[in-house]
Amino acid sequence: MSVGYVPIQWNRHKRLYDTVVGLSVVGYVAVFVLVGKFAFRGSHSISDPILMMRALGTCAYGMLHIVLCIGPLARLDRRFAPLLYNRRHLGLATFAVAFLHGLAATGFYHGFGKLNPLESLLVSNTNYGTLSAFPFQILGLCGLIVLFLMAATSHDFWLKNLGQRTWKRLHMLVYAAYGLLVMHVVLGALQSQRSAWLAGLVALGAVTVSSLHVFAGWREHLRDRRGASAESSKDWIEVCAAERIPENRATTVCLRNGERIAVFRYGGQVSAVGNVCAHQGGPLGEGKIIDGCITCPWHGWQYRPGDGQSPPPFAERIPTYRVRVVDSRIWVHPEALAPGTPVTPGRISGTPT
Amino acid sequence: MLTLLAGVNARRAIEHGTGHSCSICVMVSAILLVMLIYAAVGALFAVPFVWWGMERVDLAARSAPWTFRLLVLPGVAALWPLMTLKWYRAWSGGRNS
Repeated sequence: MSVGYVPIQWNRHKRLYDTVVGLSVVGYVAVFVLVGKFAFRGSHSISDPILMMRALGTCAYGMLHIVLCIGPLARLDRRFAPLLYNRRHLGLATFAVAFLHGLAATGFYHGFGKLNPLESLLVSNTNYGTLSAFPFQILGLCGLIVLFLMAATSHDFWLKNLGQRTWKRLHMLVYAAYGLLVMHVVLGALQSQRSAWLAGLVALGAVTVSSLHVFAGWREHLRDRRGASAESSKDWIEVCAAERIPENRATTVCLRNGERIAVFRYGGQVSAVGNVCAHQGGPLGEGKIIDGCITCPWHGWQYRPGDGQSPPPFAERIPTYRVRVVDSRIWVHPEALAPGTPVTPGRISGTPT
Repeated sequence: MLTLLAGVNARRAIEHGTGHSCSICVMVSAILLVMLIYAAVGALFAVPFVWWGMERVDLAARSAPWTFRLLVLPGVAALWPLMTLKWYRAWSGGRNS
């Protein structure tokens, strides 16, 4: 959080996550190379540099699919949420593996001529008018540049100094990178390795990523529509019966302008805050109250429910909303108060003061 | 500059066997030159920025360890125009106060 910058805020979960990612990458590359050497022997053997190149390329490609699927999976099923917590490191690892693939490929195919390898990469094939001989390497290079920009700006320092909106737009370029890399594979490997199962795998990956996003987005849209149609009394919006919210948990209500309010129940009281975490926009309503603070499910940032302020020494603030409880039903006023504004919690009748 | 690049690439084109200079070769050389200059300026800017400038732009970076500064260095080099503007605003804001 906002006290001082450190390279990585290590915790047990991150160490385990990174260990699994590292071992998986090494294991995958090792298995790929060994299987490749065994399966292609004698006159069909593939040289070690090419095997390594393919191992790294397929590994990075697969990792990018996992990175892209984690988001919608976490929305659809909370059991995937732990994978979301350290997705940043998985993204960095994806870039690192992709970079090694690019380095190996450029060095092997363009490193022994008279031209600079990068220049050779860009001028050796200029058949932009054909699909079968399209310079697919350019697509891979462009995708790698996008991944580099994302990796280079993945720290909280950039989130703060670029602004959340600019940072988010920059990191949404991952979808552009994905498109470039799919075409890199389709116009590259699939042209030289005309294999039905390979084409099927690529198609399966694209369909999986797309359908997960569509399905998760549709479910969010339906949930927002249900919330936006809630009854209102003058300016107040009825949320639900108090007992419908589990203790130390929240429900969210979507306003007609698309904003969401998270209403938390804790210790016989209810408070309402903006649903968007000040850190990376995590859904606070999917978090819970820990040690008296609303805790974001993504990275653990915390806010006091009574005023939307992070506990000292941290300085983050989120908007608060007026809330009241009438006949055990929770009502919230849709006008957002300035971040950090104290609001008297609503008291659930029948609970001791 | 472009004439020079065209001449250089004409020679290179003959050397790597195409036998003639190509407009794409000239264009690529120009693009790579611009990228090289951009990266060089970025690298030269990034070092003093992570050493001194970062603390003016973001107070939370004041006590940041060198490992953190090393971590953000590639991003600073890549986004040096934006960080230059931020550093200038922080510096001029401090001078006017």
